Amino acid sequence: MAGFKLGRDSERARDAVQDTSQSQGDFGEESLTASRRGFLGGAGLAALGLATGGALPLLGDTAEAAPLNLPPALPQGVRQNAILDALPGKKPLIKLSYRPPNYETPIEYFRTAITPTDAFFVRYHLSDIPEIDPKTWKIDVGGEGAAGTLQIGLDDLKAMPAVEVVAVNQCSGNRRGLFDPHVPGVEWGYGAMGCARWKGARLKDVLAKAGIKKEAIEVVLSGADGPPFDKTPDFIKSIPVWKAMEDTTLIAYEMNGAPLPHLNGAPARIIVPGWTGTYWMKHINSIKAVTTPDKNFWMAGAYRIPLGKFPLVARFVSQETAVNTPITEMVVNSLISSHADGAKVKSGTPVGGIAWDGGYGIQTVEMSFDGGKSWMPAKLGEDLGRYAFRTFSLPVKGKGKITVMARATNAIGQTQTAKLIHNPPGYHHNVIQSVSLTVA
Amino acid sequence: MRVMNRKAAAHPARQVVRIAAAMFAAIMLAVLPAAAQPRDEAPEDFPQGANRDDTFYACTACHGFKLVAQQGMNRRQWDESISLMVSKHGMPAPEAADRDKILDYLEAAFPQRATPSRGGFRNPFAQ
Ligand code: HEC
Repeated sequence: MAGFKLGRDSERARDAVQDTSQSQGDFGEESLTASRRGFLGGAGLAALGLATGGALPLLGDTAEAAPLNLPPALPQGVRQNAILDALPGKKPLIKLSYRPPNYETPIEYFRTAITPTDAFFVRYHLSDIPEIDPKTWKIDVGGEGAAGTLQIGLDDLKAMPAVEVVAVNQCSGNRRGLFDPHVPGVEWGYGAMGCARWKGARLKDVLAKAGIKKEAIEVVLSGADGPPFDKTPDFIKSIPVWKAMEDTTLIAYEMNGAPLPHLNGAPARIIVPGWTGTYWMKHINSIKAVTTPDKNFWMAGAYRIPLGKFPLVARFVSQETAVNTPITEMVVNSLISSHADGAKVKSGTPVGGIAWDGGYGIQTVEMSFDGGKSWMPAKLGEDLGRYAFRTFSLPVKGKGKITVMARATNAIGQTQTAKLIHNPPGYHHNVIQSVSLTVA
Repeated sequence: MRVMNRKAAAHPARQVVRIAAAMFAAIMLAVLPAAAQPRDEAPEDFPQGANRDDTFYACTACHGFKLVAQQGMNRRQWDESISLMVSKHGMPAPEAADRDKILDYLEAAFPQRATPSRGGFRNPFAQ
């Protein structure tokens, strides 16, 4: 198509927009309200009794848009427009965009190793999200790297040996909004992640039914969601065959003991424990073994990190170039979630959060109560497996205003970075966090 | 959905967008009780400025304007962003004069920010 003129096409885009905004009320006014109260109302979480593991009174089930405060490091556009908003079946989450839906989980939900399904973040690249009838839904399995083809439905999947794995699903760009200088993308804060118990069939068992050839190098994954505009590349990802064949790489139909919610990928999605969320294809409807590297935009043109900058082990060799590589496993990371910055706490109160990595397992989390001068090992919580969030805490020491930090180390000795490792797409933010508390 | 897109290929491209947006709305409406519908956006939700409405409509065929408004970039970076939309995401290239208008608005409304904090991670509850 030749160039388009603003006027004419604007009319049409306007129609499109109007079609999506059929509800009354004025989102605009709410988002632009000058005097807004922070959703924490200035009170520390501890003061609200949240640190003791009680229910979360702040977030009701109402879909009413509530204003909230976000860290000053986030771009102004995020802070100006961010509201809590409930998608179907979800608690109010932090809305980054509605079309396509990109919603992150508020930090209060990261005090447990399992993230509640109704607070689990939502991420889509493309806004054409179909309704799917699980009774007629099928996955096409095949590709030139497979001996045959087959179609597999939900009942077929459920009839296969079921595997459960607790694993963190984290968006590659989690914390992108904290990059300085700014990098464009969805400007996530801390909540583009979650940890759930996933249940499904092994991808390798499904591939075995089709018969995988020894020449196969990648498995190409595609889901039912697509672009609203047919010149926009569909969201398609591939993973190396070795990762596809791991015992924990699943086609999951359950999340935390219930069927997957639509916005998290129903009827089934791919689970790639240890690797960033980009490979966890939702609404999966096509699985193809291939003998040449997949060249589509979302592999060749996106989700790439500079070679050699990050201390990673898992490689995706068939996709590597001289300068970059597809993102693979998550970097070791932690989040202090028990207390708000500036909270007042009694000496001895447990302070902590969660730690995770790319699947080697959290070995230690050290905490500092003096801004990083001295470090002590924190007490680790229940071990739900090497792909899961691991909780940690330590009774706070000191007096007056102190700076609390946490630093996780995994089983292969990788640890968090003190200084941001800058990269153009804004991935792998695992800078050591610091929180100031006043100890009475 | 695929069927929809294929069928719509015969129609003007914008029609596809219109239909898809309507379908997305229909899906969201179908699952949501009427009172709990998250609302989509209008140009008035964003900072005032020359060419705001035209920019809004030029940039909202595929995604909401919130995705645009959450960036803070200089003119060169905004220009790169438009080039990316055209070369990678299939956006029809705007004519030069229109591109300038769009850039004028984006640069003024969502400028490169002076970062309040140097040095990475800030506490989620700070402020
Ligand atoms: C033809 C479809 C289309 C149009 C029209 C379009 N975009 Fe995009 N845009 C996309 C897609 C697809 C993405 C990727 C979304 C994702 O990854 O979540 C995107 C993402 C973005 C992002 C996030 C940064 C990034 O690199 O992913 C920005 C900023 C952006 N668009 C700006 C614009 C602006 C400004 C306009 C209007 C001049 C525009 N877009 C028009 C399709 C489009």
